[in-house]
Amino acid sequence: MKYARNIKGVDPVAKRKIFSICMIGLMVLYLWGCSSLYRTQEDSTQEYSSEVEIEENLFPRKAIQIVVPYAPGGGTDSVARALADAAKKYFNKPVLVVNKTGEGGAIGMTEGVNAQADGYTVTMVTSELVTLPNLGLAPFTYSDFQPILQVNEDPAALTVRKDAPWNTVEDFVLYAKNNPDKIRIGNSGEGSIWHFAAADIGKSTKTKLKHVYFDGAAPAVVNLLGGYIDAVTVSPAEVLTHVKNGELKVLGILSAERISSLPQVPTFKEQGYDVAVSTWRGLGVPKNTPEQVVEILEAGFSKAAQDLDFIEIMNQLELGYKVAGRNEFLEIIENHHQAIKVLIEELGMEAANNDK
Amino acid sequence: MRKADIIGGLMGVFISAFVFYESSKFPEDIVMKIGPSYFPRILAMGLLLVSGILILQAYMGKSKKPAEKFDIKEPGIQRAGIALLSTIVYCMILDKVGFIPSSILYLVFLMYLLEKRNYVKMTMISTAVVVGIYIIFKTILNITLPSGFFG
Amino acid sequence: MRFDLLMQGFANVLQLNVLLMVVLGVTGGIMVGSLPGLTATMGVALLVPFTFGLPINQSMAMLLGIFCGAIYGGSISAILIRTPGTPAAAATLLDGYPLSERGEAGRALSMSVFASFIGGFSGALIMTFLSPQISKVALKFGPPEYFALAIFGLSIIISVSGNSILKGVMAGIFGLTLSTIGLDPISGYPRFTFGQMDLFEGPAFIPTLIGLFALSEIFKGVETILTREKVDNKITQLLPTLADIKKCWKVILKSSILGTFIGSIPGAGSDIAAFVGYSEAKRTSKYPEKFGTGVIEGVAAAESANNACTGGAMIPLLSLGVPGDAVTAVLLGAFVIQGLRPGPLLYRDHMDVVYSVFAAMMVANIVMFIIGALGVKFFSKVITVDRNILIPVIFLLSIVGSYAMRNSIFDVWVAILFGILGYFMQRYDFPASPILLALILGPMAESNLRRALVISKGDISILFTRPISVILLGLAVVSLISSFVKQKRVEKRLAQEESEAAFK
Repeated sequence: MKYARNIKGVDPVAKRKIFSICMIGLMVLYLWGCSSLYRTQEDSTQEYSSEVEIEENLFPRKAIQIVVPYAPGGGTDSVARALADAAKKYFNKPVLVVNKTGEGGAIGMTEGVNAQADGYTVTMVTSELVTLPNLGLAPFTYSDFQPILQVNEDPAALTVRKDAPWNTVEDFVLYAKNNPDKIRIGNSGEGSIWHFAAADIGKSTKTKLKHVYFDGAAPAVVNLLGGYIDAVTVSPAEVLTHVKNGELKVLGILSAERISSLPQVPTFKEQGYDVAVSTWRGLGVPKNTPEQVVEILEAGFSKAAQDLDFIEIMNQLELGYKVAGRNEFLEIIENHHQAIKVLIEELGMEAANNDK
Repeated sequence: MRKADIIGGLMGVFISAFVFYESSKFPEDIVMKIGPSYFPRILAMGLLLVSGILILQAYMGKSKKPAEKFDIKEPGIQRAGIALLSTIVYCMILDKVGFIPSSILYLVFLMYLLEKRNYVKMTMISTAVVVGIYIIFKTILNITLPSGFFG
Repeated sequence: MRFDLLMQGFANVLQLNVLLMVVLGVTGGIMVGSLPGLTATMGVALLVPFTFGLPINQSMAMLLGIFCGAIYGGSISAILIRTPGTPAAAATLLDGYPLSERGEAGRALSMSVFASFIGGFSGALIMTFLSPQISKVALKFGPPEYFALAIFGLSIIISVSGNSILKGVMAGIFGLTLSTIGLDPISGYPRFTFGQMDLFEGPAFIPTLIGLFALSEIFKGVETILTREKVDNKITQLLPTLADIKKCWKVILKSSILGTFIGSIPGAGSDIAAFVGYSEAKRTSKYPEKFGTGVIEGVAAAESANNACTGGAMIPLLSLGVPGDAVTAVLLGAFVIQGLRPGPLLYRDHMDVVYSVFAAMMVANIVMFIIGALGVKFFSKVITVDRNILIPVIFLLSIVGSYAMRNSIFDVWVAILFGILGYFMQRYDFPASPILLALILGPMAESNLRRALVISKGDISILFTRPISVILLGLAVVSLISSFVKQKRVEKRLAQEESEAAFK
């Protein structure tokens, strides 16, 4: 009797609490059940994957996903979307673009490396694939990817204000030699490709330049226009409109050949300095992807990259159109990796995360 | 309030000590004296100062307002605690179970916690809200939500 | 200024198919903006690919519609559920939410629509008539000026401190410290990241905000739901009353001009504009101590500034080819894909396009006003929903919003952590607004200070020898001192009231 009263007499608050805790427990149990169910499903897909080899010639059987490590609307994203659009008809399957942004591209590329190596997840890789790991800012290296195709390359352009006293690279270098640390040269952030471009100029001409880091190329250009810095090394597209408007001039292009948008500007090489730094974009898959799948992907995307619609969009974006197959692309990446490694050592930039 | 002020102040001291310790590992800028540790250290000093004053004031009994006691036995606070716990559980299983089933369960549970008792209505509202969010995010805006089981 | 071209621009925009795009864009924008975690930038970015196939007039009309709609939309959730839908609305919640807590949600919402419209429309007007001139001034903004602007914004930390200056300052410094987490903006060295890649960009802004404001508030809501009396939120008006307009018109005009200008300097977006507008309104108010407790001018200042910023941000985009903020960076892509690169050449060769954009911007703001005003009644229905249904839904939205930003569960944990922190801060009288302010302005202050010192080769006098930066720093000092004095007075009065109450 006494016990019974006690149970009945439990105050409503405590009762609610007990019930709540039971509910949480139940919820956990239920969801755990679901998740283990899910896990078995996952396991079975892994068993299937041994059959992939037989079915390779049927690739792709479903939609292909392109992971873009940068925000929608940017240059890399636009290239990916245009390429995806063109590629649909060559694969006869949808080609989707997924943006995974963050940490200067490291998040998206990490996701790409860790994706299932079945060819359905392709990653838009950029020159950051080489720079980030070298700086210790990414948990992967370029060799974790198997390149498929390069679609773009843009060299840096040494650009100054129209009224600057230099008209050739030689003028610039001469001034820099006589006035070490005097020329303030803007780039899109320390460790960015345009910083390496400026650093490479300094290294090969044996001059000392003062690097000023901005949050992207656009603010650097504004600061050049406003007179806070003396030069920038960014892509031609980023300064072209001001060059045409007569406010800026390009002293030299950091590439092997002249570029179509500024045919009158000589390259550094022509002016006697062997410097070439470019940014590039292309596609890659995890390194264990079966050979046959990679071949199919390369064939399909090459056709897409030669599609007239794609070429037109690249021209509209004012991005350098350059298509290279996977072997050539791999070579480009490897060379770039070596060059950046040497530069980082000479600059004394610490590989940031090495101690961790 | 006094106790809370002291705890708050101690946390401030702890954070600033941590900032000092961590920033000692930052590389110094070779060219400029102002490197990555410059700003955080100024802040850590400021934080230390302010926290010190706060603790001092609390000791001298200058803290204002009688404390609104944080009583773990109070039903309201327990309810908030359960809500927090269930949120944590929900987040842990979100990407394993998938968005739709876990969210519906989560909503129903929270409504129950807040003493709603009309189960049919609760389930219906929850399902409608979750499916609505799912459609807006995934279908219209193409933002991926955790899929998991049930896709 | 060519009126014939402007008229032609209006003729281009006022066609049925283009207008339809504006309406679609604005409606979608308001929706995206009001959902926590979906920002104006994301809204525009997600729709850019759909505009590839559209003619430039329609595509711009739609994207500008989203832009304007989303910046306004953010205020709806800020006012109603204390969750800024976009970072731009972060300043709106400071006074918007207290108003709605008092049962004046309708008043706050209608003022928000009105201020957004006036701000947005003035921004569009200024952009139409003064673009080339303003872009010249914007070029005068170098690192020292950016630093000074950030300091001016930060100078209201004391005055948003609530009851205790000490705790406010402490929260502010804590916020600034938080803003140093992640890759150092100048050297790229990872600070306080514990080797965690997810922290390389610092604790993501939106999840932090959601945690500090929304989650903490609903934890509180869960705690007090059964004991708290229901606030009757009756919506009687779609537009602000004449009395409110009379009270706010000066603030709105000033904020509109400030907002446009801040928008026009690259790198400072609508979140910063809203705070600077709010600071300025507070600084010049007759009762600055009341800001933060539900003052209608607070909502008006923040909302007119952030919407004016939309027009402002278009100025450098069109005249220099340099985006003024994150949204216009995406718009740049939308232009380029149409074969039009914004910049001085666009002005020379494609005047018709430029003027169509001007016209579209004005029309988008008018449409936003109409849809927004009609929606006030509908939106504010949200808080008449039973709290035991509303609170769970806000919980869910907060989690989804934190997740959606970067598709990352890590960000959800960030939100929860800050939710707990925010709950205890609120309980023990530590204000959260200074953290918010510090997170928005801290990175701008740090990177530009260091950049300025690199440019000047370490000479600190660069900060004090340039007119714009001196004026801004001076204003900051004035505002610091005056708010300190006023705040002390408030504290004293509070203490007095307390002791009087104790005697009774």
